[in-house]
Amino acid sequence: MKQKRFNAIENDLERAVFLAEYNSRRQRSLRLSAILMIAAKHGLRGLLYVWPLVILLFVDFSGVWSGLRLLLLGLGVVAWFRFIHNSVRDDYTRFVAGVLLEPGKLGRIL
Amino acid sequence: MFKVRDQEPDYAFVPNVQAPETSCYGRPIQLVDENDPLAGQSLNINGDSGIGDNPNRYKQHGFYFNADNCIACHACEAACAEKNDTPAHLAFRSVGYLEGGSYPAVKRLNISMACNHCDNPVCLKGCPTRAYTKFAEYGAVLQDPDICFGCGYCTWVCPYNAPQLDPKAGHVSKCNMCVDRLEVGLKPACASACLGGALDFGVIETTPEVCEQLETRIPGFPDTSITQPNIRFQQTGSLPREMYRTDSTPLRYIRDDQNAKPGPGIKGGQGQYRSAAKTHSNKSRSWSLSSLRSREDPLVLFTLTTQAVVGAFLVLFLGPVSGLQGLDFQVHPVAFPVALFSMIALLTFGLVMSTLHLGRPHRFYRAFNNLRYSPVSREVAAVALFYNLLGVYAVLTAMPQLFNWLPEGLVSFVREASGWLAAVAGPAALYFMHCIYRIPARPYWNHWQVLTAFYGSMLTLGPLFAALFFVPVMLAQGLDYVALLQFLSLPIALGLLLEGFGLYRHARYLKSGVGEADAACQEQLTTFGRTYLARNIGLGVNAVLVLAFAWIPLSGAVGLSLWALIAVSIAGLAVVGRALFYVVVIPTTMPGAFFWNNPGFQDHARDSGLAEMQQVGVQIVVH
Repeated sequence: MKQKRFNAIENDLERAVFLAEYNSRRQRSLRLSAILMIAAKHGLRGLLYVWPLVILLFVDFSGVWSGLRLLLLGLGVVAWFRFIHNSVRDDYTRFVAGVLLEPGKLGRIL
Repeated sequence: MFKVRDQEPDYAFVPNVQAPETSCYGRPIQLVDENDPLAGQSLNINGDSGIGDNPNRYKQHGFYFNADNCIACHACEAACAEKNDTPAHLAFRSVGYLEGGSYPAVKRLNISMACNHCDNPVCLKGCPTRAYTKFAEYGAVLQDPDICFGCGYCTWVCPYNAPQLDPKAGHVSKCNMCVDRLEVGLKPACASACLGGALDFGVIETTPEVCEQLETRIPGFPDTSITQPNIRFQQTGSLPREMYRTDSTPLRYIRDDQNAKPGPGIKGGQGQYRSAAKTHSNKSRSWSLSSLRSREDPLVLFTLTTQAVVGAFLVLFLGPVSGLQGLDFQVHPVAFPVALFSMIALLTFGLVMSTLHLGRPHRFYRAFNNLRYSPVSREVAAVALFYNLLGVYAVLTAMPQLFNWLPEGLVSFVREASGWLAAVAGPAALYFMHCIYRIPARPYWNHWQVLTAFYGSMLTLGPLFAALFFVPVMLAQGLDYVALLQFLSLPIALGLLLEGFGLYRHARYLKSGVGEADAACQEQLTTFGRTYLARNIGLGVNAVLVLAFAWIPLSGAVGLSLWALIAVSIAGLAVVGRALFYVVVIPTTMPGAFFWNNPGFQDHARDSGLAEMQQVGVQIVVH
């Protein structure tokens, strides 16, 4: 991850070469893998604080309680989103955006 | 690496002097052993190995402040701001004033203060993310803003206001002793810029050439036993017996001549200055309800919801064990698990609230990084443990069908075990929560009343939650709810009495405590006087009523209405009481100036719109 970032390149020719590689199919798939890894990492971290509510998906409370169950489930999902959404964006900016990724070093994202 | 300019004057270089082996605190000044692998290694800043030869690199260094020479020109502040490129609302070094005497014999004491790179850095121990390091080189306490997630706990525990929380950037930063300058032999920027020869720097316990004293205390300086700061002072000029802060903090400093001990360099009969509350004989009691809001509002909700959920779980889990049949899973096969999940939702809300308090909420997971020292890490870990045990208990209670593939005995064993463990982990989490507030630099908090307040809230809000949930259910089912209410009255009354007793003893402690505690007490009795009084009266009235309801069965619309009123009153007073807890505290900071570090001026600047001008340097309130 010590690759030179796109923003740090001042030479036009170097930028063009960088972009050619950056937009290649290989780099795009690496970026997708990195995004999935980041989302999984922060999703699991967020789950630490919401998992009992997510499990409400598998419960069938009868009658008037089913509405409350959906409310709690919704709260859990909102809280989960709250825990992960900035984290994914932050890690994407730090590790993925404007960087040429190398397959062997993707693990460092975790 | 810092570039040394041509013709840098001699005074800008760190002198090579002989120092004693131990400091005045009895700690070795040489920070690493000759055979230590660290010896010979350098900070190697920016990967540049071209460092100068410095025989004192591994000795504890510190600032020297000669108050006799300081003219409050603020050149040190300016040099620091330029070197570190700090925004206008932050200052790693600042000059504050104390004034005393009466015209024409008025005296002003100027104090320039930054981080003291203490021997016992409480910021380092308190930081939950381990963003702080005490370096063997120069003994510098360094902080990494990239690791910091902006909880601001270091700003609470530091008695000198050295770590600076930047609400815009969402992290803390602080004086780094200009280690890059030290590596090339130069003194920190502030010491090099001092015009009057007031600020100096070198190996600790060495006196600069033109100075004579080597004191650890100066008026306005907090108790050195908290952190053992590495700063030495000279102040030989005579000062009035009472000195006042020029900022709006209601503190003064009184010289304790009666207990003075004669010693070298101490003028006849002159003792040390100690802090005391500034008396406001004409300040009347007011409500100040709008001032109850603060940056710590999310913590008000987090602490109260956590305490309520722990209390509610104890009632639901231990209630049937202690003879309360109305709350059993067998009696309420649906409502009981729904109550458990509602508690989990409430605690999730509290945890989300606790992250809102952070400058970088998305890095909440770093709170676990310093379990060895930080009470914040321990609290977060204990609350997470309770949360997960509660989750296991709720899942196994509500959906045993998901675990049909496991032996039935094992499922019930795990459910019971998780319940008992949660019943232990919950109160333990509240104990660790209280440890966060036992801070010597915040004397108002540093009392066992915090523990009684937290356990008191657990005992009142928990059963209240259970009653609010189950009484409507029992009412709908046509079951008798009066016995349940009578049973729950006992822990509620106990909680109210416990909190009241703690408050009573706390009030007595504040009167006999140090100046900051007494000043906080004055604030409590004046600025928030009516709010404080109303809360205490409400607490007492609620305790009496709840105790009475424990013996007198109340039913019907009147009974339920009375209970509803009491529930609203208890919950409202709990929020007000907790908000007071956060806003009343007065920390042991260094004195501010007329404008800078003056809370009164900052309030005025925010009210008048002056704060919107960036150059005024007033921190924005938003987070």
